[in-house]
Amino acid sequence: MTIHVCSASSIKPTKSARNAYICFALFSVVWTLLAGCATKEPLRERFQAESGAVVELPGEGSPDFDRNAGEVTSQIRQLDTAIKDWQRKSTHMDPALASEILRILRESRDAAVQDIALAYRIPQQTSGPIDNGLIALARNSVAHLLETTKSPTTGFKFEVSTVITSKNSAAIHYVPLGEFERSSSPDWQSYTKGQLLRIGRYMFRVQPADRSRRAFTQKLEILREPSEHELVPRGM
Amino acid sequence: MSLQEQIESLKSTWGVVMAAVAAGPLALWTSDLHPPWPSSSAMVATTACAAAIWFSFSIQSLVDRPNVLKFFGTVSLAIGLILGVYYFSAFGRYVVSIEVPSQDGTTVQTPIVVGSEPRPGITMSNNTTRDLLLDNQLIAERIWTEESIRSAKETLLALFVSCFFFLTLGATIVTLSQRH
Repeated sequence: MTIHVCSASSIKPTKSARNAYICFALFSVVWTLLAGCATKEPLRERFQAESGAVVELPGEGSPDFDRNAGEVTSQIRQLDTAIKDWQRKSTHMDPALASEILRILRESRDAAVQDIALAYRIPQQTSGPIDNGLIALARNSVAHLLETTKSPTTGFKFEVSTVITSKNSAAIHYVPLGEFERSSSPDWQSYTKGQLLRIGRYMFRVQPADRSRRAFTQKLEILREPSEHELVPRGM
Repeated sequence: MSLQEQIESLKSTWGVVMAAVAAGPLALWTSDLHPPWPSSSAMVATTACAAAIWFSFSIQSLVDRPNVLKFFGTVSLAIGLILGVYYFSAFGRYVVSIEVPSQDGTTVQTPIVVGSEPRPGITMSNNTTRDLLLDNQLIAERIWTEESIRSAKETLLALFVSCFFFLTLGATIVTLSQRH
């Protein structure tokens, strides 16, 4: 009986075997990439501030995750993309102005992240619940920043200066007309003369200094630059 | 067909016609009828037109029979025209122009893309789209869902690009079939 022994170096793969190895290698790469994409999101979300500091917040699936705060953090992710888009489109703006706007956008975004982090810290360090006031504050701030990034950076003016006056010295407040019609308790904002207002229709409310006189409301359309109007009660 | 021959072909009278078709997106851009999103939509469509011209030369090298080429070209032109009708219909539905002041003191018409699905609590009755936008400070996202606005933007861009792609493809193939 003869036993043939051959060394490992003499064993050469055939062409079909080599093709199989290549296919297997490609399949492994594709599979690894797909598996990487399909892995679950981390339990903690990381946000890097302008200063370089990293803030970690509970992600979905984490035991201390809060749904309201999670919605705001997802809006902050959208805001990060929107700020990048805004920066790309603002190349023709005055560089000093663009850089100032960008600084304000980033600082306000970092402040919103800090608000969320603080809201999460309260139940961790005390026996109290998560601070929904801070979350609401961050939500409003991020919504406002998102709107700012949506304004075209070209030569259009979406915010115009306004001169709204009333017959007598009075406190003037305003609210977007859409919000006034939708909400039973609209969020009235205080108006100061010369303030920039976004183009659109508003409901203004005038409260005379003499409290015995009744407050009145009036619709105004702000379209031109500058927009000048005098608020006068009906019948005067 | 070599690159040299392709350039020679473009130099002919029909080449000028093809260039005119490819310039369509830029013409609509100057007349403010291009999709407002993205800001470079006219350039995207013009690039698609250039791709269509290159693609038509590839088809010509594969198909020998002029009749078959002509058929392909005519079908492409018809598809392009139908997509064009859909595009203008979608443009009328999804784009609202509002007059806003510009930096130089004049006023300009600014196009705003609107959605199709209103947010909860928004009533569309008795309100024109322009009124709704003004009541909400020209922020479409306050009135329509972000998904429907994104869908409207993507629909406009897809129709615009594919319309000019097929028009250019059809015009070029018909031209090449006549030179066969």
